[in-house]
Amino acid sequence: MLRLFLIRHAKAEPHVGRGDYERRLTGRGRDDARRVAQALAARRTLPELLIHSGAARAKETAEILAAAWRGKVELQEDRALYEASLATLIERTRALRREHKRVGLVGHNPGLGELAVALTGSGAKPGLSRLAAKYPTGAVAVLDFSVQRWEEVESNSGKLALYLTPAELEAGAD
Amino acid sequence: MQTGGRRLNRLAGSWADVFLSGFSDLLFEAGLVARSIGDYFSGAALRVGVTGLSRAGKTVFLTALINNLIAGARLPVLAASAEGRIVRARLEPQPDDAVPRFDYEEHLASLSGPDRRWPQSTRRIAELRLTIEFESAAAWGARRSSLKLDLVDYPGEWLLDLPLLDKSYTTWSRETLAASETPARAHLAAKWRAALVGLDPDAEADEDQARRIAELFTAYLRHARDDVYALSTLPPGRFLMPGDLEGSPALTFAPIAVSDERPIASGSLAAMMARRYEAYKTHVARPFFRDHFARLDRQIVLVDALSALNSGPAALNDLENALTEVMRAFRAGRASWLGSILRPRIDRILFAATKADHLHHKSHDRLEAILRALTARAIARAEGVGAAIDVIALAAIRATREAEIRTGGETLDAIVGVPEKGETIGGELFDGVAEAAVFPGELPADPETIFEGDAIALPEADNDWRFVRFRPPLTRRGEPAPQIRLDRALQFLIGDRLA
Repeated sequence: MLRLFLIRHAKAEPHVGRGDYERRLTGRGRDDARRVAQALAARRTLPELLIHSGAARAKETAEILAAAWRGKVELQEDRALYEASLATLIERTRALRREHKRVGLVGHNPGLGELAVALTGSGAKPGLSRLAAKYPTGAVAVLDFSVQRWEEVESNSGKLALYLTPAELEAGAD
Repeated sequence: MQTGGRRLNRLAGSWADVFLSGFSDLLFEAGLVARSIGDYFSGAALRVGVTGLSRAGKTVFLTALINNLIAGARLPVLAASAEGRIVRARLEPQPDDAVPRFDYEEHLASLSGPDRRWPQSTRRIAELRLTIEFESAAAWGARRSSLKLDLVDYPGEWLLDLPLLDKSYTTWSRETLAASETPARAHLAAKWRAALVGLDPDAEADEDQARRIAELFTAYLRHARDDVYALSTLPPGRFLMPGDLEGSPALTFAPIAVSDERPIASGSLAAMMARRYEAYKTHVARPFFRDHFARLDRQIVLVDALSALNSGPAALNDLENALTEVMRAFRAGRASWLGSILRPRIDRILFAATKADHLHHKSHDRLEAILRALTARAIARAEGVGAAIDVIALAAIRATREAEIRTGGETLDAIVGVPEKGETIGGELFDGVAEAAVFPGELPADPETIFEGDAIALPEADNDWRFVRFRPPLTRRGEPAPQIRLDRALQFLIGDRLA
């Protein structure tokens, strides 16, 4: 089984002054990222490899997650994830190496939200409909695939194991 | 905000494309059909098409129309009725053996009695013939005449197939893919789009794969039309309204990314898809236009503008586009030199916003103004076509009554009806028995403002306007329910033929 974590970067500062690629997280965004990290750790469901787009807000999100998990996760940068279309994201997912069974992608909307919708074929109803309705900053979807190799990942073939958003974590759902 | 709508607008290519596609052949064939029926020359017969996109209220409209005519209801704006010249109207045996009969009795029964509910939707073409006997209003004295009125009910989705007739599989695929990437549609289409990633169009044809892609594509079209989004559909029209093709292999194709630059390899998946697409055009789309659409004299297009308002600007823009595409079909039916040697076809088109009973009558003008804004581009296209066009707001069956309600020294205009079971108003859940007074609020005075806003269709709860679904009213058996402006619609559609 393969497990994919789709993590949208946490809340970022507005687009002023510097370029979009340079936008950093807000204080709120950092808090949210830590909260998500703790929630995943509490469920003992962590990726072994975390790939971010290189954009400051995605990199920072990934670093906060990795720090909270005390270095048990390898960090990588893949520039192709920045402003990636749905097709690019699927191609990058299929290109993952099979020795990594649990991989997280830290990326951007709309592509990331579309990827989550596209790959999710089954799972608990409330999670599925919430996922389809909104993929906010800091949200994480955990998808399981009953295949051995990433190139076999297909539309509708994943099972939604978990869907978390910072808002519900803050509201005390966790 | 305009991106979603405007981009779709380019989908269909130009009118010239459609004309050159051999639409003239269609007109010619249709003309032959019409010529063989003597009635159509004597002026004693009229074929009226009733269409609209899914859930626009076609079945209810047609049922109420027939019910009112047969029961001899008072229809003040229909001149022949107001002047007491309608002797009677009766149902005739089904005129076409190949077309299902509109199940008037069944629909009327479902609208009546304690278990009354809105009838099943139009899923295929159906027709019914009525004969109206009337006294003519000629100055030299009354003379008994009759009008054979054929009412043809068909899903408006089918009209959207017209542009396909001239479109190659490659072009259609490219345009449909582009439309699916617009913000309002991208995530609805995500599963189908994802299935195309890495797909080799030149790979050997595979039935399972074709079926899987077609299923995901159909699911996308269905999802886009769902209540929450209410986006108007894209062709092929039969994917959502299959009619008698339900489950047929004729619908097992979908767009895939194929290159314009090189020919499609024979025996490939792309070749199989393209072949089925062509078969759809030849055996499904074309016969509908030739055998049914091109024989119509008049047309009413029902529009559920309120549902689109419920869903937000993206849905409204999308609806506007769909109506423009629908109008392309009417224009194609006339703008041809061949048209001049055939008998004139559709010469009156009525756009009607349905469910006007969900609003206080003071808002009806605004609803008409919104429909006028929604159809402006469609109507502009039809200018010079020679058809008279009108726009009205109506309720073929009026499920509410109006009331004034005083709260805190203020008098508010309300509508009162029985909300459908499961409807909620202000957090209160209704059981389908209790009445509720609803303040429907005011529609905007400037209809253009409805198109402004975020491009993504919103769930109903997040919208400024929220309309409640009411149950059909209780009427005495056989008696027509109250209506709003059904008589005005009839006057426009058939009034001159009852003169």
